Amino acid sequence: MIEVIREFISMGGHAYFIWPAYIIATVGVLGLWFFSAWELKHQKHILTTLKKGIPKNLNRENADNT
Amino acid sequence: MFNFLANPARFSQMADRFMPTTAGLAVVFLSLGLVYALVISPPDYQQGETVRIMYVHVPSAWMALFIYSFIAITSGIGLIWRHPLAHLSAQAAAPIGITFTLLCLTTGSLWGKPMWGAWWVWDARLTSVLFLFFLYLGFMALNNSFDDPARGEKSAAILALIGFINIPVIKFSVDWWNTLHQPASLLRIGGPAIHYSMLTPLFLMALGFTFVAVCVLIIRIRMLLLRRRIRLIKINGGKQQP
Repeated sequence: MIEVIREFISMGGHAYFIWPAYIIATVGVLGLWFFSAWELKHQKHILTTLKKGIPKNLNRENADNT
Repeated sequence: MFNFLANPARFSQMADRFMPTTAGLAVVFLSLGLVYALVISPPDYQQGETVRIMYVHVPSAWMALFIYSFIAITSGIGLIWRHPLAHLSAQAAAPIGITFTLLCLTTGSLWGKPMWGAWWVWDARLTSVLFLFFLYLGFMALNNSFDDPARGEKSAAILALIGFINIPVIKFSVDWWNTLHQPASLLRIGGPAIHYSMLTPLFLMALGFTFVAVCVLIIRIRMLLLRRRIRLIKINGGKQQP
């Protein structure tokens, strides 16, 4: 069993190329998803803050960024 | 349909309804795709196990091309019909497209080293995909480089339309020039040259990436709609728009 796992991980001697490709793809796809979700949450937070009518200087700062 | 979605509130309502299904499909296809790609599919008779890189590299390349085409089409719609969501959709899609282009380039490099003995070669396919990456960068930069967002959107849309000429160049570069890349093996006369045991994970991963892109696109459009609303509120001195 251990031999089978070892063989699978070694990927016929090309593990150094195959696993990084899958890790990069996973990090890229998940990173894109989570960063976009975080950005949406951040904008929702700014809108809520604006609706409450507080920190005006914060609002102006965000307006410059948009 | 296009006019129906022009209303931001209606778009958000529709997005809320479709999001769980789309996200679920993305998870299902990617999970199945990974099992097929890493465990079930056989090694290639020439390339051995390194062929498994194809299951992330090729779908990334397809997504990079599809998303750029989407950007060019929505930019065209924005310029001609001034549809309220067109430029916004293009702007929302650009970070998704650039991510997939970057994934395509890096995984391609990781595949190229054991197969060609080089991380990078200046052949037509690689160079035109690198050019696509810079087109995405330019599109995103132009969108954010004007005080007036409408001017930025317009300039970026023109760049997207001009850059669209690069898409057929990428597709046919393997036929037009001598290259290390293999010629088209799926969309060709005579049918696919790949065995179904390799086509299955390829399509599963492609479907998974497509659903991920749709999910992220919905999230980003909603985020940009909120950003636009916040900007309007601030311009009006804190008064909300009806």
